[in-house]
Amino acid sequence: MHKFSTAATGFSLLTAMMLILFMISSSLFLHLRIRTQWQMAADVESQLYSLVLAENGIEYARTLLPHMELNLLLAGLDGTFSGIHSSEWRNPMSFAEALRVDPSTWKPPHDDGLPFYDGQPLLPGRHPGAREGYFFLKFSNNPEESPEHDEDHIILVRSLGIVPTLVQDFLFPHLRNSVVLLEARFRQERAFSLPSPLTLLGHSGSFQWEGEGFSIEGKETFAITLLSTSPSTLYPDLVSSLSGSQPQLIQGHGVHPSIQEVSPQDLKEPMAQHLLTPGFWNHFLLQLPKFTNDPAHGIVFLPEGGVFDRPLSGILVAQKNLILGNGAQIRGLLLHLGQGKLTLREQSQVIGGIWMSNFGTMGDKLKAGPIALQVSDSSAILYDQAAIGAALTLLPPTQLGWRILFPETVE
Amino acid sequence: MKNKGVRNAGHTLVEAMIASSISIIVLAGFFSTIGVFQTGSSNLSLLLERDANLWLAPLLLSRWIIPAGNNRWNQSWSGVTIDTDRLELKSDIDGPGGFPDSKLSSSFEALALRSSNSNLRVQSNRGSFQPVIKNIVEFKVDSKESGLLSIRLKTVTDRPLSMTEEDLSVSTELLFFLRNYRSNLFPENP
Repeated sequence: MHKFSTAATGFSLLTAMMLILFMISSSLFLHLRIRTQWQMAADVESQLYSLVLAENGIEYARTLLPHMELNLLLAGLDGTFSGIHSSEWRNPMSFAEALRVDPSTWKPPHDDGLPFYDGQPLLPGRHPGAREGYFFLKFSNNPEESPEHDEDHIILVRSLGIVPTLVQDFLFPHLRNSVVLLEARFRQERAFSLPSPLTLLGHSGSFQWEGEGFSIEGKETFAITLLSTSPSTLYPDLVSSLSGSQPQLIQGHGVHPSIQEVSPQDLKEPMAQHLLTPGFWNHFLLQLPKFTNDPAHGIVFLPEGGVFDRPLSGILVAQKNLILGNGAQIRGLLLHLGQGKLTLREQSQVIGGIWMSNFGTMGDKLKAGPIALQVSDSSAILYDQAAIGAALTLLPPTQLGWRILFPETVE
Repeated sequence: MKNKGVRNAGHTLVEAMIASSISIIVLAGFFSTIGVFQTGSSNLSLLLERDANLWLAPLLLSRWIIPAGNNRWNQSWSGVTIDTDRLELKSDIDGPGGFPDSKLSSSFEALALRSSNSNLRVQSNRGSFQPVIKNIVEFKVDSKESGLLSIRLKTVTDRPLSMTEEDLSVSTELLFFLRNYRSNLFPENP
């Protein structure tokens, strides 16, 4: 009896041990399997999240760019371009560093290409996302120009999205970060930096000046700039339309009537040359409805003209006959395009600048047409570069490229 | 003494037979449990593998599709060409010095994607189609609106699951915003 009990006990013990061993190994197998799947899912998620963060950085840069003076941006807060320090100088940091760095504590080694406003950095090193993750931005000049000086208003921005390792335990304490580096190529739009309060382009003009109480004031600049295309009668048409003391009311640059006639090629702002390209205006008018809005501030498009009779801070683009009513107080830019007449009624005011042009295309060349302007008594067109500058910040930068950078493609 | 020994011997035989029977039942249960577990584990692996393919697809596809059309201004090629089950992507993303060079000679600058033999395959430049994600039985591309690409993927398990006749295919639709087809107010090349 004693011998049987020992054998049965041994057998039961063996079976129990086998069962326990099986359960432990099964649990371990399942744990590793689930952990591997979880890690895979977490890696994919963090990679995608780093892409989203980097995209957010590009969008943030897009909103900043119209407000930035590019050469100051390239030099950074200290006003000095520190030079090229490494082969990856266009990136916020090198790929190798980004994979291992603790993004919550990292600080950029210098301020070149980092945005700032009013003496303070806009991104003090990093920008946290909704969850744990960061994006870092750096602007640099396009490779066609020198690194420290911009002239063509084209700039590169690189956005680095970093998501710290989501899976960390005692077995894998130092896994690498998820990193995505994006680059966008933007052109800041300055084509509408007008040289005068009233800039006209056409081959002839019909002008009506009413009374002797209106004002076209250019201050340091000429009050009216005529962009003459050959042949053009714009200048004699304008001068002959003035009578009495009306020439005195067109002031600027210390002369009156303050009128300059220039060749379009002589415009100081290089981007203004775009205004002389038919393709520029075709594209602009085609896309404009997607970018317009109708609040008191913004870009307003009136393709059928009409009466505009309220205050506006921003850009008013109009075609056909447009009448600025008594209540029209435009601070910014007025672009009147194509055939039709622009009428400024009494008390109407434009602080900033007006561009009037009428042209079609003849092949690839510009073919100017007549323009028509009526200025009523006690209306005013006052040049204000600050108002024009504020209006230009409403224009989104033109995106010339967007790509993902990998370690092997980074310069 | 002799009678007691015979009685004990018979008693031991019965006990041994009972113990053997119990052992057989225990071992049968043991191996049945292992069998069920292995079947379940195998099925679970197949399902996880199927799902892992779907997790991976957005990451891979977004990296290839989103930058399509980079530096396409004044180029002779179209950035995105869509057929119902084939997608061609062209993007000048690299060149000497690390910047676009108006050529499509670098790796992954000219891609074609399609599904064949239950695999999602990719072709880079003039190479041959190589499988990148397996068990993708459907790959449909559609352009819902300008700059927005819809891709429908259907994936199945590597083989039928044991002990079930259920259709375990899974479909998903991914939407990709083509970043280089964003509208610009001003022309890119004035």
